[in-house]
Amino acid sequence: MIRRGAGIRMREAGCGLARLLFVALLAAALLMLLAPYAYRALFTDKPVLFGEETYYHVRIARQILQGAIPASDALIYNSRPYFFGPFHVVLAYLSAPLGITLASVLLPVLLGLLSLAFFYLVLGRFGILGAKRLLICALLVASPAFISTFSQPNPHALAILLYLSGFYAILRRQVLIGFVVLVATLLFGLFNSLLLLVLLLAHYTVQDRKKLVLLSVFSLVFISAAAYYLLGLGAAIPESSFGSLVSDLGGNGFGIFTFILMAAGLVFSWKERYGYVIPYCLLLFLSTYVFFNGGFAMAYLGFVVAVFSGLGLYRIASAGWNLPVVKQLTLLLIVCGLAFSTVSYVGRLANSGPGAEVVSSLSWLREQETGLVFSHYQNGFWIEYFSGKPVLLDGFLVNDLRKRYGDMQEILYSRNIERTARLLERYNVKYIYIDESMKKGRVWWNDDEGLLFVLRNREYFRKVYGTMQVQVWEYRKE
Amino acid sequence: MKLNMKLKLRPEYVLLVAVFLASLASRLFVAFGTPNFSYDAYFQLGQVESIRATFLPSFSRLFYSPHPFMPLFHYVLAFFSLFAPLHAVLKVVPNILASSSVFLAYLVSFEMTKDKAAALFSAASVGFVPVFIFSTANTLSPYALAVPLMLALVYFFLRIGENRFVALFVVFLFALVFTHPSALLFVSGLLLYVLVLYVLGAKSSRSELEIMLFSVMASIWIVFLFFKEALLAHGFSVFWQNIPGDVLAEFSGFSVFDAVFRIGLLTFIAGIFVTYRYVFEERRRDVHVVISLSLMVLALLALKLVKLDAGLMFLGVFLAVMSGEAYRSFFEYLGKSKAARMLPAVSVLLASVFILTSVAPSLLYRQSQSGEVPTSGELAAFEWLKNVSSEASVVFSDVNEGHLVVAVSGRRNFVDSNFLLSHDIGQRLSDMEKLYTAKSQITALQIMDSYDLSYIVVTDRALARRNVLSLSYVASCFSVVFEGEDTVIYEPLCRVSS
Repeated sequence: MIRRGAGIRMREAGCGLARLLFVALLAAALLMLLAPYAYRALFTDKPVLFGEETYYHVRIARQILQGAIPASDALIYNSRPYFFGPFHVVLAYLSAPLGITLASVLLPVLLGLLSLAFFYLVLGRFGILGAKRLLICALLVASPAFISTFSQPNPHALAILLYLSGFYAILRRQVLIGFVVLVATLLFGLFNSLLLLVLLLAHYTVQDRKKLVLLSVFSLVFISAAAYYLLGLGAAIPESSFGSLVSDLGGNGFGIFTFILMAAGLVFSWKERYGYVIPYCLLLFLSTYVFFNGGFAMAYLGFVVAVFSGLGLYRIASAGWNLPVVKQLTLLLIVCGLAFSTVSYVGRLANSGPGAEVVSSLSWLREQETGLVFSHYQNGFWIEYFSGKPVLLDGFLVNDLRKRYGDMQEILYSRNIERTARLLERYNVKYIYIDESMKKGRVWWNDDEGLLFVLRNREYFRKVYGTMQVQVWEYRKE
Repeated sequence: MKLNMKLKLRPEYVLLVAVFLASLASRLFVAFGTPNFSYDAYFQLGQVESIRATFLPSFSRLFYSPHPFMPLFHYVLAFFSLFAPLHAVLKVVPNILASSSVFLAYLVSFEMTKDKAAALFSAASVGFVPVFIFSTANTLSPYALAVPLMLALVYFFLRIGENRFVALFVVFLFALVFTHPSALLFVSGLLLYVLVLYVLGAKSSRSELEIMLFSVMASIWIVFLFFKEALLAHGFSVFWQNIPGDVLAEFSGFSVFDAVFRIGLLTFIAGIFVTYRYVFEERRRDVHVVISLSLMVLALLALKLVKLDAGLMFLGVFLAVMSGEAYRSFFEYLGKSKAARMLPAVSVLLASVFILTSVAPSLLYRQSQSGEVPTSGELAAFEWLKNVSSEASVVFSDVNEGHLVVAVSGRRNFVDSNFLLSHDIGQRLSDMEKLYTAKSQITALQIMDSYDLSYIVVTDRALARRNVLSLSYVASCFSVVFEGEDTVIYEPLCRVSS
């Protein structure tokens, strides 16, 4: 009896310590997510909100706050239908008492902390406990994908929370609540419907095969419904490359050490592969999606990668090594390497655009006559937000994307004035907006390339705004 | 007290030292063929001088763009220059370091073959890989230290089961990583080794896996720290070093003839034979380590991820290490066959082929290197700039003379052969060509204004490379401030804006 009592007390003490460590991890996550904002507010003259897509969501939330849910987005050539997204509504409602900027900062951070908590609980349900669970969560918090997703307002932050909380409810056998929450994720787009299908199929393949057939029919009905009106719309322009996966190579994914640890985790977990069917299926689906479509799926992939890299790190740290000195050195390197990737990424976010020059130039443009602004599509959201003028393309899909994207490229790279003028006429372009990033490799390297060369023609173009970093040209129609 | 020590002068050691001395002698013969160093060597020279003066290398001062690099080799040279004149240190020390590969090749080869004669053959082959001599004798290249470090690491890796080699491996790995990013080649070769063993149905030992994991982590992290800015700017394209497409010919694919000439016929054939035999017929872990490294170099060459000379140099050294195994097998076979009595004749024949295809090309390089070394007239012009120009001057020169501007004149250069962190390299190279070939004075002055250039250094070689006799636009607005035997320096007298 005495022994048993001591064991229970020890277990309780262990649980207490684990909880305490988890609270510390939540605090670390909070600091990590707020760090870019703090840096921008205290040490730079840049606007507090950063990122490109951020300004789209803030603009839509502001429109909802000011009136009703918009039917279309007029700040893009030929306008784009707006499909209802729950994130914008939540952001709008939170903005009413807090103001749009504060709400845009706090909402993703709050969603991140809640997601982390549910992730912690889900891991527990799978029997991943103690140091292993804490390591996985710590690696998640340190991953650039997590920081990127939950430090900027975006719908995926809310979708992830819904997945985790819904799935946790299902694991706790509160199936109805779980399904209701999970079904809400269908409102986020076709990708989310597919992800839900993969998640549930993987889960019921392991748990209960009888429910599998029912689930498949149920899911297909929902996916068909979702596909009907969400197909492709509202999703970002795909930009896939392996480099964008690696944060140390300028991407938004994961540090190089996380990849090495993940590889180790995959090798080590293979012996117990039947216990990891769900993360394997999600890894396969998400990495395929990231490879072909890039971008936003990284937010979801971050959780799966954290599972495997955490397993890898746990195994490396807990196993007995033939060369103990090498083990200590390796662990030291891993900690330093992970910290380096994280700090470096947070610094990059803090220094990312838009800069003060971009804001002042676009605010100036707001005061000018209305007209379509041509620029690189990655500047689109900023132009829409700060100047209130329509653009040819922004980061989201449009119906005639291929043609419009091709024409944008043609205008940017052609040195033929007649061809450029014809395309500018076709889209009724009035202003051409060029910033530093376009001249430093995003579009051109040399000042006599493509459009930069064509702009020398005074007959067609007039510079109406110019600083070291930004130029705005007016196109004089024939 | 009588020392109870016997120093055994074993014949193989005497021969090994003789091979080392022969290799060193041939390197010094090449190095002292000219009093100067190759053009790119002046970057290393400038760094050594910076370390001597400030204890720190200079990653960005006076260069047209930041130049990140691994500085251990430069610290080593700066250290030796405390005890001897700098010029002598720069001519001799890199060659001693590179020649020390002979000892390490002996150790690795002996570990593989357990045959002293075979190991000696490997050592001699490594000592006379022509491309290794071309690339390191007079270039102050960090490869002179990186290659012996890599061979030492291979040896320690083969004996990683013994505790004393673990610490040595760790220390040498850090040394290699801080010498040159080619440490990544070494660790990727080790990863390939695990893969090769797995494919062949064998397993790496636990100690090997542990040291390999550490090596991967350490080298990747340190290289990322030093080249962070370049990695963020270029991502995976960093392997191409931001070299514009038309200059990328340096990375062009190689032909077998090229490889045979630069590596040496005998070394090439012997290395390929061992690779074939141990990939398809027999299995030996120690040989597979070196084979994996060779295959990794071949893969990098095929993918154009490494400069041709550097790739062939590593390939040549690894094939040379393996050639001992071929030597052992060949003579073992010959000894058992009916042709055993022809052994002396075959030995003489092989020695002759080795001398003709490995030693001779190395020595003949002394004559052909003159095109890659600045003339005394060119150096005098850059020296003149150091004494006369103001410290804030920006000096225009041909791309390969850029390091001379910084190292000899102590002035900011317009461009040099390191493009890694240049944001406008295409524009700069295009403007450089325009300044050599422009007809219009306005064009030239506009370019000079936009880069704030103070002087134009024009060498006969730079003009000859472009089939131009002289600059066409220097009649009125430029004055000749220096005129040497093969170099002229112009200073602009007007500005477009004024």
